[in-house]
Amino acid sequence: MSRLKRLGGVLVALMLLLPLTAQAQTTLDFWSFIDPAGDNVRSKTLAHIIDTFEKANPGVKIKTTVIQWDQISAQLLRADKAGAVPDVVMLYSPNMQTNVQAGNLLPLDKYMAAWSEADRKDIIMLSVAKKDGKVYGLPWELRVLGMAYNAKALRERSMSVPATLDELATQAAVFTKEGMIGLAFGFNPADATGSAEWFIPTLSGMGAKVLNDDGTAAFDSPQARRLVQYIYDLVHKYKAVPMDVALSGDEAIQQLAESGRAVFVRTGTHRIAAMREKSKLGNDLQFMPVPSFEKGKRSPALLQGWHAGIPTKAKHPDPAWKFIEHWTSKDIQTYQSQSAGYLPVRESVAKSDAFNSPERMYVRDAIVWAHQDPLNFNWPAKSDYLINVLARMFEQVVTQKMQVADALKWAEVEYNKQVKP
Amino acid sequence: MITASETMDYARPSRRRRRGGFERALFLPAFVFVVAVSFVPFVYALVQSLYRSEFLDLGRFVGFGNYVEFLTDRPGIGKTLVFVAGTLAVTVPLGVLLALLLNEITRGRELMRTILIVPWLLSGVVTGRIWAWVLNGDLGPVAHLLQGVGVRMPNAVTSPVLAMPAVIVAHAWSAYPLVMVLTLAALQTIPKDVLEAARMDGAVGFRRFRFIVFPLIRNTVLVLTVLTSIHAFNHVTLIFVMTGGGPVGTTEVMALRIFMEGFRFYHLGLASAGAVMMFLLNVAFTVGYVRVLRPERA
Amino acid sequence: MTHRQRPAGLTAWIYAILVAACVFALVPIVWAVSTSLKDIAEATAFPPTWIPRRPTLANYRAVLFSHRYVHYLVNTLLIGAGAVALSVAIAAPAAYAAARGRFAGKDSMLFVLWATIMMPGAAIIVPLYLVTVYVGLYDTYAGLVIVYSAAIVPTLVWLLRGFVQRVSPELEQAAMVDGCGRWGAFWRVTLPLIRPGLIAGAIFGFVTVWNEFLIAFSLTLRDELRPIQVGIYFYVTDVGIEWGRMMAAVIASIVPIVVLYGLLQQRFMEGMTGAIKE
Repeated sequence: MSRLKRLGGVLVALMLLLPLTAQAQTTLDFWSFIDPAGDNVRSKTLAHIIDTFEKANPGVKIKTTVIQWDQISAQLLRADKAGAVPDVVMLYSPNMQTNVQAGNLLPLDKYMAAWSEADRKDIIMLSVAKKDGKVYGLPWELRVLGMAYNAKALRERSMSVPATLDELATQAAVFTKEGMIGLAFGFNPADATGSAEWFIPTLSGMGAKVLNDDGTAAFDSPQARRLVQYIYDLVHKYKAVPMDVALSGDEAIQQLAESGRAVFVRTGTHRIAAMREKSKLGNDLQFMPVPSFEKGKRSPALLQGWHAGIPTKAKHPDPAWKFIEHWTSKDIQTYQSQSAGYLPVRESVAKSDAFNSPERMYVRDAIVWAHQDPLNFNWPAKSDYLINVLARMFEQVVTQKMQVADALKWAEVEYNKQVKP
Repeated sequence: MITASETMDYARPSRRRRRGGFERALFLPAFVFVVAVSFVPFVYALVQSLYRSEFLDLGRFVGFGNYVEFLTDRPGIGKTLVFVAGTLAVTVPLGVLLALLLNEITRGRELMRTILIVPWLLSGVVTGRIWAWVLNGDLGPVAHLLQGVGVRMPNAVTSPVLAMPAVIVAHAWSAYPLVMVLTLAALQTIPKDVLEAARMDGAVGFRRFRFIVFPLIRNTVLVLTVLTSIHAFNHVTLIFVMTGGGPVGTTEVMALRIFMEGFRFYHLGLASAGAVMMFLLNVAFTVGYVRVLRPERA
Repeated sequence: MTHRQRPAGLTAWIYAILVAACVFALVPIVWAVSTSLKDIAEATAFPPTWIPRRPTLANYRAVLFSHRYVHYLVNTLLIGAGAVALSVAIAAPAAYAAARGRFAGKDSMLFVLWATIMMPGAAIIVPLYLVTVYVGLYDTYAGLVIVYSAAIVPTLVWLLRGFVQRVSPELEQAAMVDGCGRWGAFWRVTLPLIRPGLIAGAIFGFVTVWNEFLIAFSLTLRDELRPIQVGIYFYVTDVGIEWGRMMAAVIASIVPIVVLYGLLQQRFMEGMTGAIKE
């Protein structure tokens, strides 16, 4: 009888303990545009990061939902209203403020307080992730936007790297005349992020603002007129950019560089490795800062990055933070940049020897540029619309539907329509 | 238990009503289901169109503000008309011509009909991707051909001049087979003795077509013209995939504009206003077509 | 076939035009297939070649063995099968009722039903999106199946009604004499006799779902349930547009449809022309 009672007692104890052990298994919902199950280098890198996290944190599993990169932000805004948010979400720089201001994201300061001061300073923070002194997301990768060029083609014509925008135009024109595409710049509103990422820092470097402090457009400045006129001249005066290239989107112009038909192209550090491989130029495809109109002065480097954030209504914020912590750790950042060519988000890693090889030199140079001449652009909440309006403005100028000054005024009115309800 | 005499007995009203009831019960699910999915959202759109909405917030009541805004800023009506007219100009004559020709031959008819239908089997995405590639200005076969005669063809989908013709051609390519098949079916219902009689009377060739054949298929051709234009009027996918509405908005037809406002910018109030207007235009179209067709039906 | 005198020249012209039309119909597809068999260097070479010098199946391998692509195909299969099943289940009885029944409002209801075929996608897609979000069917298989079924049913009713009308009512009455109820007569007599119509309708429905983009794009979000057309639309490799791969992805998606059509075109044509005759 007493043995039965003891057995009963043990069973009851087990039944009470069982739910506890079951609860120890948490599943984190993770929204990513990279598919960890894919077979390309970025996918495999992410898979490794998830894998190592799960091993270091038994009881936590990550369930990835793959969403198109340009849909994630809109989805998060929608999901927030329905309460169906993930635990960790990837957001690109221009979309951070949209979500921060909508109150979608959890401030991470309380978690970061557990770090040492040195550790906190080691992370390269972008202003788009901050509001009122609080941090709402950490970058898990960074990229510098600039240009790439075919060093071999330049060598063959004994050309040196252009030092000003005008030199760029005349050099590119030489190639275009011969049937190549001297300069691959495109302004298609359907795929325009890259064009804004070129225009905004270059304009800022000239001393002009893009937006006023109250968020309205400040497009119509003498500097902007000069820069937009430059774009017009690229197509019509210098004839460095063929018209249909000027109306193409980001993907199309990257593809022109990858096929080796373009000599100069605007791009970011995140695409250099692939470009080198596909164009078969190898290290002859070089990364360069964007020149300015003045000799010896470069345009500022626009630093952008994909961030990892925790939605306000996330069900498991604490393990979510652990994942972000893991992702931004020194080891993982070192691994990530080696494996997939991302720029690291930690200063210490950026300064390391990892970027001394000839293949990775461009990363070091880009980082140096970003340190000397950074533009930490405050993307507004309506950045998608901003990018679209700017691209539409360029289109009208390039197709000679509007004069430069009129186009800038038009763009201001158009953008302000959505800013002032 | 139903006896044979009872089933034949239509005169008994109670039986007839019950028969009607059974069939109505069979019919209603389809009716309710389809109407619910098609019309309920429309009511939603009507309401939403009166507010300035972003994402899922209903926003501020603006009355007809959205309608005004849509109509005054790139409504795309002109481009829609060009697209529809262009499509019709190619699709209907081509489809009818091919049907007539196919009807004339025996050898190879099955094979050629099978081949000619293939473009219709392809989706808008596939058609758009293939044609964008065929009309590629750098690497495409058309560009190559033109280069042979000394003409440099710009990339069609990014050329403000070529984009609209390009989408028209691609759309006509996918639309003519349906016109062809249905016209052919209509041609084949023309009784042989009518044709024989015509031949006896000496009507051959073009005269035979004009006075005998065409009147008999006119209804079908008319219906097909209307259906083709309605389909072109409402079409989004092909243009979306090929040009995205560009370059410089040269191919931004009304249907596409509505779609972009809704799904790219999430200006749902504005998109709903556009949707309501499109629906009304479709209704007007349909009513017009029924009016045009009805007299012939007699 | 009537033995008519037709000048030989005219016959030659007729064939010439038809062959030219066949070329027009096929050339883009042939070009796409050709590109899909080229390696990266040759795909972006100029001048373009029609027959690949170094044909390769690498593009197809990359596309088909990417588990995502097959996943999209499976999704589309599931959604298509579901939509066809649901629509046939709803449309067949309705078609029977439309052909045989006499009840108040039949003609007006039929008119309304068929009018929805012309409901413009663009007009309905935005509000449809809102409704599916509010009822929780957004980004679900069920949502897609329901919307597609509603889109297919009207055409199916039109198609099947023609077939039912060609079934002699006496056969159904005979069955009822033998003891079936009205439903039994429908189920056991009418349905089997309209099988060609059911097949044609099923093909039509399945192809419609397979090829549909707008609804699939607007009502889904996650990669998990993405159907094939949306998958193709978003098919950009990790590092940009690769035309060889893109064409392989495109061609791979049309093979099932073209094969289906080739095998069943006889049946399908019968179905279509049968309905036209009404």
